[in-house]
Amino acid sequence: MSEASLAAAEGRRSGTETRLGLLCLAVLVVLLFLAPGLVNPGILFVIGMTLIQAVFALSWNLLFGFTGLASFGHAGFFAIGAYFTGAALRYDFHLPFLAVLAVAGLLGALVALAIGVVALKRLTGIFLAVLTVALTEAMAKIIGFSPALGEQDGLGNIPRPVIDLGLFRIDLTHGDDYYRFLVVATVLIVAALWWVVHSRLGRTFRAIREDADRARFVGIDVARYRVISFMISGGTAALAGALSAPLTRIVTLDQVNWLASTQPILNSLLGGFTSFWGPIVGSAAFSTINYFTRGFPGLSEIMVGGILVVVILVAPTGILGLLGKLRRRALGKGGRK
Amino acid sequence: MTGTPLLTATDLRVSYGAFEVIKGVSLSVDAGDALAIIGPNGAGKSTLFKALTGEISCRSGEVRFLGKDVTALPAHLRTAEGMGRTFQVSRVFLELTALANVIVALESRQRCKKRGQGRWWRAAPEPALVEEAGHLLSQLGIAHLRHEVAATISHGDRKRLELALALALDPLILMLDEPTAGMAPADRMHIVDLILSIRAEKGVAVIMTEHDMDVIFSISERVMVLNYGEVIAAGTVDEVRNSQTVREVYLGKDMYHAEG
Ligand SMILES: Nc1ncnc2c1ncn2[C@@H]1O[C@H](COP(=O)(O)OP(=O)(O)OP(=O)(O)O)[C@@H](O)[C@H]1O
Ligand SMILES: [Mg+2]
Repeated sequence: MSEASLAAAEGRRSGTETRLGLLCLAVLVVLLFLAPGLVNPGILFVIGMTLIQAVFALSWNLLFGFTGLASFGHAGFFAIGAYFTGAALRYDFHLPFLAVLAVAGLLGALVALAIGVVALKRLTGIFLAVLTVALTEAMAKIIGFSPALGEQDGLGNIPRPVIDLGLFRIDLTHGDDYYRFLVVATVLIVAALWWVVHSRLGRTFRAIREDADRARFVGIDVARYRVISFMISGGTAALAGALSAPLTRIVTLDQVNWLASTQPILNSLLGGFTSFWGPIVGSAAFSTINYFTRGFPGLSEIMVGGILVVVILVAPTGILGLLGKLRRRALGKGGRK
Repeated sequence: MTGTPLLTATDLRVSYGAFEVIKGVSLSVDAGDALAIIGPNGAGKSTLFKALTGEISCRSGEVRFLGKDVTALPAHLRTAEGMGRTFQVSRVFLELTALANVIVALESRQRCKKRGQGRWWRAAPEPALVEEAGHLLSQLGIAHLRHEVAATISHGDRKRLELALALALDPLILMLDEPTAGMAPADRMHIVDLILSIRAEKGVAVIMTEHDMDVIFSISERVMVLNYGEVIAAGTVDEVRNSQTVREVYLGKDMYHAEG
């Protein structure tokens, strides 16, 4: 069995296209690393936030695009990570920073497990949507009444971390060091998610998305794998939140509301929820639009709304879906295989 | 398999709300047996299948598989134990290729049998499984469709693919809900040959519903007739064919291709 047919079995592209894609990715990562010397701090911050939004959107789309479940309150998970990390740094929990990130991700996964067991073991997907919204509302209420978490004002003055690896220390408190750390973390998380989606686990998720009943009758424990997908998704969303706290250095209730929950949805739909890379492309496109309309308050919302309507009507599979269609057309009749 | 039958159902009752659809059905199938369940539209054949496979739960009664009470066992565990099934309207993973469909089933078998995954860190499916999947597809005569997305393949080929999904789990019994429904006569005979060869090769037991009598006579030794959720006749093909009650139920009815 050749590599090419393995790839085809997976529905993946093979050969030159894969190599070209990898090359583009490598160039992108290098550019992200060099960015501090190329752009001003304002834009660098936007790029950093885009990376975080990309991870956040990927986490949502693992659920929606690859398992067929929707969460309308994903900001709750993001906030778990952001507030935990914010508090851990501000009040110095005496935890190494990497452990703080791990615990943040774990917390997100555990909350997802609790919700998932209630919503998915017995009930159907719609209850998941409802419970995630409830989670976000509950989080907002709890934070709003917790002085230690800054109540309505947010948790500010979050110091940037120092990573102590015993043999040597990596100080992220100066200049653009935290940004560089963020790039590395994002690459690792994206790689891990790519693996999940393209592994046996991911194929099981996709089978469940396609037809849960059929999946049961090939022996798949549907509820179990839905919960697993939800845990990975919730954990990753919390990790995105955790990475955001030292970058923004303040976490506020704005990150725990309905609007914040729609952001990963918009990014995924805009970029294309059927593709693994869609949410990343969507996040980048969204940030770009936001950046160029920043001088006109309100305009970005209108633009975003308008673009979204167009995308859903003209290209329901988003930017990447549209590009794929154009590519097939360009390759013409002989284009397949 | 001495003594205990492969699958038994005792006094099964199933209702949709207040509407009782299966009114105390019992049956027994031995390893390697073939049983056909026939009856007019709406008799409850598909519902009986759903109860046997665990898609819906029964109000009362008992299902035993390999001597074990599986009445409360969820569908995926019954599948893991060796119950394979197809649906009346075939169901496959539409957006996956034919090959990927079977790979998903084979990977699930790997888990059901608690067999480890060699080199699990590699994302791509194991070459051995890919090969086996290709083998299954050629056995069912759809090897040429391996890279086609299931949504784009024809009705008949989809039925074959669904059969491949069921076979991938190495079932002891195959429950086929109208395996040839909506197929052209020539295609039907292909499916019949296929089922016969699977039985001969693997000794798999078969329970099937079907409206096409030719298909039933070619595959089954035993027939059970269901009407309004009750068994009105059961026995060998000849016994049932000569039964007075069965004739009355079907009087004036064209049983052949009743569904077309
Ligand atoms: N989900 C459901 N809810 C309520 N009633 C149902 C449901 N499914 C089936 N029924 C009813 O149960 C009865 C038996 O249906 P079933 O599908 O088991 O019949 P069948 O023997 O398979 O018929 P056919 O030959 O048309 O496939 C019918 O009267 C049908 O209308
Ligand atoms: Mg039926």
